[in-house]
Amino acid sequence: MDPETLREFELLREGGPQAVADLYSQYRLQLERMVDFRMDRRLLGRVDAGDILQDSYIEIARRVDSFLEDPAVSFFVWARQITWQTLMMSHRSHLGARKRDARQEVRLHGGGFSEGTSVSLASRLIGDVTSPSGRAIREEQAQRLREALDSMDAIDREVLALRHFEQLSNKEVAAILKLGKTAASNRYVRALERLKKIMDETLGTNS
Amino acid sequence: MIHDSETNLDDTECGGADQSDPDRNPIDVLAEQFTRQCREGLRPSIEDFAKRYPEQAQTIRELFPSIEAIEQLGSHAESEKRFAKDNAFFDREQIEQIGDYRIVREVGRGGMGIVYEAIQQSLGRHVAIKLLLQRSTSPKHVQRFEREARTAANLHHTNIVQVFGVGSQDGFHYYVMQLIDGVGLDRVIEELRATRNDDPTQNAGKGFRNIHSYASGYDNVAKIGKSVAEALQHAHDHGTLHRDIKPANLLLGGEGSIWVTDFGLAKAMEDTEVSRTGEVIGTLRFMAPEQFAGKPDPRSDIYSLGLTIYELLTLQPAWDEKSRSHLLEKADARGHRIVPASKHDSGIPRDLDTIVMKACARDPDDRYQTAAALAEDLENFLEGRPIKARPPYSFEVFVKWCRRNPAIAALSGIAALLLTLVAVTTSIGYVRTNAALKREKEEQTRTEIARRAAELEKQKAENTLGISLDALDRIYKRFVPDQISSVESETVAGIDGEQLAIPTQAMLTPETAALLEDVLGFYDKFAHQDSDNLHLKREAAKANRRVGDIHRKLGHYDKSVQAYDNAVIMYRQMGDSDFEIAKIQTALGNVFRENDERDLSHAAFFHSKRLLEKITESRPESVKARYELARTLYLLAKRKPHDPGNPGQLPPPGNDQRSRQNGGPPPGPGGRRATPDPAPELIRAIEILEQLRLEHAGNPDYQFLLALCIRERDMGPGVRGEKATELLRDLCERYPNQPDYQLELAESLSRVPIHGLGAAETDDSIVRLRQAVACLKSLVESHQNVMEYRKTKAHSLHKLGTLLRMRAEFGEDVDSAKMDEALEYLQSAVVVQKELCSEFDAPSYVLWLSRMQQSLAEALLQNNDPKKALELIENSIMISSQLSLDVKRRDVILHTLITQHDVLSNVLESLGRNGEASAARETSHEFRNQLHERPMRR
Repeated sequence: MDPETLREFELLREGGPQAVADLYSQYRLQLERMVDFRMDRRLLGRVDAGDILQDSYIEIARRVDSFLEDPAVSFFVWARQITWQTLMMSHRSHLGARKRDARQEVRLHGGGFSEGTSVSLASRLIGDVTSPSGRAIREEQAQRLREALDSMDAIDREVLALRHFEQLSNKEVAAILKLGKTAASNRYVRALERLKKIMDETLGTNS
Repeated sequence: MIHDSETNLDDTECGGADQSDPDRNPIDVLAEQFTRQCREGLRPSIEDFAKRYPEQAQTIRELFPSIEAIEQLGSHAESEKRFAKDNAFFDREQIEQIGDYRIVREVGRGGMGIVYEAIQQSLGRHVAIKLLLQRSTSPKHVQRFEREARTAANLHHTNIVQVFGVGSQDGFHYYVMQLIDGVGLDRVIEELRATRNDDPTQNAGKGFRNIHSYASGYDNVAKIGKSVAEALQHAHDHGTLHRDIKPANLLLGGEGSIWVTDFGLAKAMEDTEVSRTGEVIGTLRFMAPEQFAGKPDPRSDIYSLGLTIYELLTLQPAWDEKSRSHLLEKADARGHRIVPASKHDSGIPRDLDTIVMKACARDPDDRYQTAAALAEDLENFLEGRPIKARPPYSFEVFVKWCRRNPAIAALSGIAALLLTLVAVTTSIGYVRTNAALKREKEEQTRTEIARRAAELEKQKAENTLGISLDALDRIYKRFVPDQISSVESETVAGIDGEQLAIPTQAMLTPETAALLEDVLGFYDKFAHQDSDNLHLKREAAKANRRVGDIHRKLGHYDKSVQAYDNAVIMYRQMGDSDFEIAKIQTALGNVFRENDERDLSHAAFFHSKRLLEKITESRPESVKARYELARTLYLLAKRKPHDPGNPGQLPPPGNDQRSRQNGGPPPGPGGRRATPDPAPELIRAIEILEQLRLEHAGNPDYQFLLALCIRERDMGPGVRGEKATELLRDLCERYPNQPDYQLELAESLSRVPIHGLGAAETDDSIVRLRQAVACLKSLVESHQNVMEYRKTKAHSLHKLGTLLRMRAEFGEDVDSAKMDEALEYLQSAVVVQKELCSEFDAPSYVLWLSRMQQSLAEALLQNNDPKKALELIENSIMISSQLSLDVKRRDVILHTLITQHDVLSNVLESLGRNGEASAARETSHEFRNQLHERPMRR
């Protein structure tokens, strides 16, 4: 544990609920980014990111004492974990319940964690277009990109998402994915290489 | 917040900092700096980074553009959020009432909107309401939405979900529809896919299972396809396209019934933000290529239905991973093909596979042209009848073909089949070996032993190939005989008695065509082989010629010319092949002639003639060259086909193709036109052939060609061509089993004058036509499948009937026995022609059917049976009017319509319906005016 992390634990142990709230608000932006990025697209708007953060904060406050008894990761990594669990539960309650409804028109994209990442990645990489035929092609591109991202190593893909969409540092990525710092760093560079290849192949950016 | 690299980032400008973190990949550290600058809006230059860190420059240039791309893209698209908000609105607000409708429950939610079950309170009925998540108050959009909805509401069909109405509330639009207790086929496919590998007994008890059984099994899928196609046809008939046929829009009900839903919705929602949300992505793959260009037509719906059936059959998307790029690589339209459904499941019946593949052909022209045609072919499949779509050639087709062509099959038979297969297999082996050899050469790593083994293999392959090629050539010649007398287009009489040619196209039975296509594939592959073996080079050139021949038979004009040209080039490279080149030029001349390119045709024949003259001069002993020269001369001299016996009135000056020679013989009796001097080429051809006959007495080929030349020479109004007939008659006696001779004899016999004859002359013509009909009857009996025989038979019957009808009027009283006979023959002519039309959907055949029915109507009128005559003439007018007035046939069809309306008028008059009669006369005049508006006569 580096000194900064240990200092945070110290603050939390001594400062009580107010310290938890203060520290949490420091990380709120990153957590919100994570929720925005990982929320199932069909839930966007129906479920507010704020709701998820609020629910997860209550959970964090309730469990912080037992966390501090023997912390294995930094406060942020732990808080992110809880927020992610809250999000997944929300997914399950909103989407899972409909799974058996035969008449439902929505296609459920498996709902798995890693597949979700590639959907979100693809939609971001494609960006905005306006003309109908351009849009059709872009959508086709998005689809292909998603498939290409699916074929990527799941951890590499996560590294990319964490670094660029959740804007986390290498150290945080390493902690979240339980990797060594060097391994995480190398993974990131490898993921960049894969991404470049995929974008060349699917979007023709090299031509 | 703890960034372990924060210190590094703070001094980004001082370089070298990246070396300070031993735990990290140096690229990662630089990437982080770069990313940071991007986020701060500094727009860092990749090139600067590359220059600053020369060791990593290469990697920086490669990877950083991707980082830039990721970072540049904003967070979620605004429209997506807005859509999501509207969506959420309905989630939170728990809608209870929309207008007259009380919401019972939410049935489903899709990309376009939410579907509710509701009760229409005023009527007390259960309905479905589709609420579109598109808030729009723009009057233009609202208008379009309502217009599309109204069009959809006009569709009433058992397989279309009925739209009851539309409405809007708070800027949200909704459809009110029939409530269907069904499941979208997309869900069905998903479940079928999931259960496919499971133990079926385990699933037997599941409720879902029942519905699924209606969508599995080839017959069930075909039934679904047929119902949807019928629904589409209904909509198309009402001018409505669906534009978004896909499994999710087809609902399968509990009794196996199928409903098409969301008609016109795609159009109504076009260009709105809703259609850009994620749900659309998955459905794009069902869209026809031309839809992306914004040009959908009914055939686009057929395409989408084809892909839907495909997916239902195979439980896989039609586009595999690689070919998914079909949208992105539109330019390379021919590059991507859908894998035949049977490749995924070999159990899929071939006919069904063929139907599906035809429905989703990339080029709209290659698809079924109407949804009804698709439905009909699916019905054919379900009933076990032959389908109309032409499959790629296969063993199955060959067997079918043999069954239907016992006479020819007996000649070629199983031996031919085996040889074809051998030839194809060995050719593949050859190509493979050859390719392998080439690769080895490139690699330059082969050992001497390997090289020898490969050479030996190649030698072996080449030898086997030679044998197979010979065998294939023999088979090929059975199907594509090098006919001297290609059957020409016929002519019909116009309103002033002039002769108008009816352009015809190559006609083959579908089976023969399929067989030829396959043989073509083989030759084509071979024609592109590059070998240093001279023998094989020759074979390749020959193969090109064969490719040309086959394309010509199949009516592919351009491809045929191209292949012939290739062959000529190859022969030229080899040198010493003038004879082959001449033969190809002659073939080219025929292709051009068939396509009305008279100048080109003449030039090609002429070229061939010159080459052959050179050969015969230097090698007068070459019998083959002399014969070929005679043949070319004959073709060069051959005139446009015409009816030699119909003088009618003289056509306008300048239109007579036959009077190109000055100073013809004096006019014949009965006001007939003069026979022009025979062309000098013809005279020379006859000389050559007479000489050849002297040298090789009894050779049937020379006699046959001689007969045709003499017939051509003697052809003219009123000339009976006795000499040609005698030569052919002799050939037929000596070679009774040679159908070509019999056909030409019949043809010669039936070339008799018809009009302006005295009683004795008419009787004479009748005798000859009776012989011709007898000859053709036996030909058709022994060769049921050769349509040329049947066609000639119909024409002879027609002519004989017409002559008998005229003969019956000669005396004071009508000769009722002759009249009855005339009616009988005309009736048979119509029957034969009708059969032909049902098998070959060719405009020229249809036009002839119409003309023959007209003749029959005229005879019936003459025989005091105006009622029946009316029925027939009305029918024939209907047939003629359905023919499109394309440029080539416009005049012929107009002339036909004019004479037919005249007949109609006569018939109506004799029925005492004078008003209608003069109306018919009026119509006839209108057509006459059209004829003069744009004179197209050549």
